[in-house]
Amino acid sequence: MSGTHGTHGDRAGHRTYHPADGPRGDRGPGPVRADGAGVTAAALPSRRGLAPLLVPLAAGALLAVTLGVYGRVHTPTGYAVGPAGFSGPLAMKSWLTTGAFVLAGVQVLSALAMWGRIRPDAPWTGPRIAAVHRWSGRAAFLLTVPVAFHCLYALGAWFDTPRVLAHSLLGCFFYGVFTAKMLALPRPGLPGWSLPLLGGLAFTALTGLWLTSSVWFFTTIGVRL
Amino acid sequence: MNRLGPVLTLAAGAATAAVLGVLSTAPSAAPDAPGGPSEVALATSQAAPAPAEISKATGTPGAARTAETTGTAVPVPARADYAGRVRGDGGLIAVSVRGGRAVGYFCDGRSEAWLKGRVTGGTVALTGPGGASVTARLDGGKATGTLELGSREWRFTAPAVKKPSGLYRATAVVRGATVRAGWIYLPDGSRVGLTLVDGEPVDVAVPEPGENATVRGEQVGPEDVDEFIGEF
Repeated sequence: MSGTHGTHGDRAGHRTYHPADGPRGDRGPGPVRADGAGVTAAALPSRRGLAPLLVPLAAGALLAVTLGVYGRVHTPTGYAVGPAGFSGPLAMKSWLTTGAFVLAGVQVLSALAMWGRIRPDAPWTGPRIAAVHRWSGRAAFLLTVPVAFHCLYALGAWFDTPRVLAHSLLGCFFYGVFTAKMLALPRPGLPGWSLPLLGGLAFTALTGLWLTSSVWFFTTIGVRL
Repeated sequence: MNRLGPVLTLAAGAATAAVLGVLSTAPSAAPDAPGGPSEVALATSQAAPAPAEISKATGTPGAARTAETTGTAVPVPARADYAGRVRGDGGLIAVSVRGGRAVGYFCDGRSEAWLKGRVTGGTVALTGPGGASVTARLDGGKATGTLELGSREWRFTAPAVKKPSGLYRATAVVRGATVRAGWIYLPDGSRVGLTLVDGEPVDVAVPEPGENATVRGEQVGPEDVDEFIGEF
């Protein structure tokens, strides 16, 4: 799997050109670990612009639109297979989304540490923070999949109330921006702001999804499993 | 492997969705599978999610259209009746508000759910047996929201309606058996209902709005929301 330390190479390429890298030099932890001279050399011609982002952004946009169109044209089934053990689909989705939201908080903190913006005094800082970031991100993403599947398959995308409008659009947007970030990660020559922006947008979208679903459910129906 | 990590993450998500899709479309995907508690008041066969037969009556489109436009500006109506279709299911749903209290009824001719709850800030939240819930926003002369029944969940929009459309209930004791029925009438003539005798559904035709039903040879009269909400 990709859990080996070598995965840092994903980011080393783009990190090297981040403007913030200059003054900080090589003192940063995490993604600043450029894997070798080759990466550093590749970083020198830093005028490649937005080109490396085009394919990830296009793929993300395509996915977002596809999900939205599917949600509109597909006849809701009212039922979808999902994790058992909850009192109903709303509770299932609310709790899984809450789990993903908590992990998204881990995402933000670990990203801040990787980029040297915070320096947590914990034994798992340093290179391990990147693993924390990767695996908490994967877990958060996988937690959302049964939720989104139920929403799109059983219910579809609706725009009939402000909450549902926002939730439907944010849901499609979230998977688009997440896909764009995943596809952008391994690409060399990304603009330095790419990953923070895409990650920040994914976090923002997930927060909006959590507010328009879990928080709504817990406050209108009540907190129940 | 470095570069594959993020792609594998996406692939894992896609594979999970695909597995859920296959499981959900499988014929054995029973709508009421995941060990829910006592299914909503109805008993028998719900395994086949066949479209319910809702009799589309020829009658009276009547006073309905006007009702939809009334009460538009009232954020939290003190008194309102809503009835409409459940999207994708074919059943009907009715929600009635009296003061801060609210009752709801879902029926597709084979299964039903009675729900009760309150209205706060323009949102009605109802719950019923078996994990049934309805949440809806009351706005623009209609109730728009989500119905959850066991493991099933739908969206619905129910416009405001006026009598004779809306929700009726009947309760009686016929030869020692407890009869309970619920009926929903839409302005377009659609109607649906279910009659239970000692908790078991029986084949009783949905009567004309406001008229009696005949259960085991005896007349059972309907109550409107004003008459029965006190018992909820």
